[in-house]
Amino acid sequence: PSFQNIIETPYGRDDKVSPYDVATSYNNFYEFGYGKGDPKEQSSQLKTQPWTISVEGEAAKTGVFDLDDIIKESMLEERIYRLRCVEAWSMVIPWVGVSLASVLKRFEPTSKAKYVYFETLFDPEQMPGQRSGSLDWPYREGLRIDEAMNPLAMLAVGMYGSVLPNQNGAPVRLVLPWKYGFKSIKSIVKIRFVETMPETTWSLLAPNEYGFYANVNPNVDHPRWSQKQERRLPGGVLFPNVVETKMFNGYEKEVASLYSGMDLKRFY
Amino acid sequence: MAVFWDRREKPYVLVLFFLPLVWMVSSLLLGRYFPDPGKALMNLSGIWASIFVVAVLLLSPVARFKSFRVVSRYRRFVGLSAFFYSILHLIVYLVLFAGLSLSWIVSDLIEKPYIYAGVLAVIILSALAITSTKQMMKRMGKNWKRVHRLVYLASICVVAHLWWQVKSDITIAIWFSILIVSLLLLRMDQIPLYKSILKKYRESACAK
Repeated sequence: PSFQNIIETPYGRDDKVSPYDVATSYNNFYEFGYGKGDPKEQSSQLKTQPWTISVEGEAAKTGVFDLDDIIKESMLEERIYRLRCVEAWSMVIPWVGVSLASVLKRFEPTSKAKYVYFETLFDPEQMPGQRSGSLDWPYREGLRIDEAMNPLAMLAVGMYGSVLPNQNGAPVRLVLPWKYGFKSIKSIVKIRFVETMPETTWSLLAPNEYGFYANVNPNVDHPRWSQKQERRLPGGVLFPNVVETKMFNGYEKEVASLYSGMDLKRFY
Repeated sequence: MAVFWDRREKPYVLVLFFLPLVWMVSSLLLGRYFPDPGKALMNLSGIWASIFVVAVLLLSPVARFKSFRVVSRYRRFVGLSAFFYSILHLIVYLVLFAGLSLSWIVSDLIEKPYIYAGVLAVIILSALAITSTKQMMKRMGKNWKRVHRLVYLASICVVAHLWWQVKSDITIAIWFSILIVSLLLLRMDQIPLYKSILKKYRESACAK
């Protein structure tokens, strides 16, 4: 089902949007398997309605909220963002959602809320990939509060004008275009305001490869591959569409101030 | 068995070894690896190169069984297949994966140690392919065998190359490690140190 009256925004007007079929049939969502095609094939069992999010921790308004009460259809806007996967491929996707800050502020985080922690649904019945111990389930992510409040950070419920397909993180996911894709946690069921830096799934699994920040940065390579370039998908049959990776995925103007004075080689 | 394993099977065996290539190329042209064919094909060609390296190591243990002795007839061909698929893997990396982007390739070369394990394996397999002719065999005499034992080093490179770049799915790396390590262990008797220990042990056993 498609949304009506989505508010248009100037984000990403110059980028060539990836085809819908590509964005919805080729992605990582280990809850449904390792393969890039698995999410689409294995996610039909996911029940996304009703959907509640548990809001916890250092905030005035905590509790269990219905997704429909958190994000109203009238507030939805479209933003075209570049998505850079840590595996060195990228796409351009028109997301539908709201700014993350607008949602978080309504829970009235206290001064102790230095970080925000997010969690994906854990239900091996609906998510067959969770039956194996490949990752330490549930999937966990986190942001520093000022990162979460940055206007670029988005809470998405749709893409290409319609509700999110299950394989892309339905019914609600983060979109953080200046960070590698794995930071944009999918199928969120928990938001917790915390005082200390939360543990996150990939940095728990391989701390030398994946850091807490995971900002797109061509100057800091992954230990096993270069991050200086990316293959913008879809590529041709024989030749990939190689693009130079930009600092903060090209969103330097919007987010660089968040990290001023930080050694990004250390805090990768 | 004896009937099947006749010279007549040779063309079929040759076709068999080219099937992975035919499959990969047709899948590529049919768009099965869309939208990131470089990545898919790089993994597949690498896996097939590894499979043929394992096959090379398998030949002599298998040939020890009388009824399978004929497989040693295909030594050269299996070895050349390992060489062929490793070159294919390299070309796929350069062209389909990195798009011949010099900066991509150079930064991989500078910073990614597993590339060297792969490159070393390709160099060894190339050297073995070049020296695989009957003429070369004659000319090199005793050294031929010594040089061709480098395939063991190449197989260790394969294991290193696999482990260095796995993400979280380690199944493939585990399987190839088990296969290659056990096939190498079968050849322990070729290691000089082990040989001399074995010899001493036998001598002392005889003395009693």
